[in-house]
Amino acid sequence: MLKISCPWCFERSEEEFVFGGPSHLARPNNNDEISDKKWAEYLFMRDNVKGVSLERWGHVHGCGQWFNMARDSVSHKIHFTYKMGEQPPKNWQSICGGDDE
Amino acid sequence: MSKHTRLTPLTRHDALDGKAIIGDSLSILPVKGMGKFLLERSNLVPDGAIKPVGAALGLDMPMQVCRMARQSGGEGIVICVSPNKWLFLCDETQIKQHMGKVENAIAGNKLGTIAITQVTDQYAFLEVGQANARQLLEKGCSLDLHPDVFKTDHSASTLLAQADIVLWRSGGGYHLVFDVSLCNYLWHWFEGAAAEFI
Repeated sequence: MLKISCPWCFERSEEEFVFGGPSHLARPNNNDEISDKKWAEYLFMRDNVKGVSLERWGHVHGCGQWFNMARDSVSHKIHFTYKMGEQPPKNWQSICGGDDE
Repeated sequence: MSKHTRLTPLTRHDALDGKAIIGDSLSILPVKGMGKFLLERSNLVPDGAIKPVGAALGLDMPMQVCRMARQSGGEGIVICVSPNKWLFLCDETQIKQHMGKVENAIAGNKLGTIAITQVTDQYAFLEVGQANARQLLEKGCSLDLHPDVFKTDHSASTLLAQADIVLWRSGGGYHLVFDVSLCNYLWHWFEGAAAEFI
């Protein structure tokens, strides 16, 4: 069973978590001016990353908290997790790159 | 036409009445008469506003998730179930008194919101003890419950047989609380899982 490290509860099994889409999406704040097309892009359009991406995951059957995760969509390798509101290390792509098993 | 029985919250609460599994190496017993309430805070409320609650109840407020504390000289316990949520258990006769103490302890808070909610009738409480308690729980729970890892006074919000529970360990065994709507389901699971130990 895959283990995921929740920033609060530490290692737990995957069944306690849910995937919540990509992290760090900036919500447009110019509501009155933005076009429908831009809104639709924000709401529905997602990159289909092959490789490492930053994602939101929720520990819904545990502490109930959401957090961020750097995960490889090909190997499913989890590189690191960090709390909501925090930023990943500046060199996160090099941290995650080149060590796929 | 099949006959359907409507289950009200009260009938679910009584679902464990008279139930018990007792063997030489395993016991599963419902615990009655425990009052329960939740303390929840919004993200704006600092730790400093919550810590006085511990002093008011005579314990060290656990601020780390998956840890718990016991009242000195009392039966009450508090479990940190999430960074912003604590579950209190105490004798049902003392619950109003304890809730009043908590209310006074947080009265000075001006940042964010703190909520106290009595949930005595929302959660059922089971005690699983004896030598095979760990083996039984590990059938349906993915946590490592070895005593070197899940030590006395450790707690966890987790899944047992796909049902949400709060689990903790004391010297006498394991304790779990769960929503009353899961009483029938979980008791059936316990009966099946415990069969090999009885």
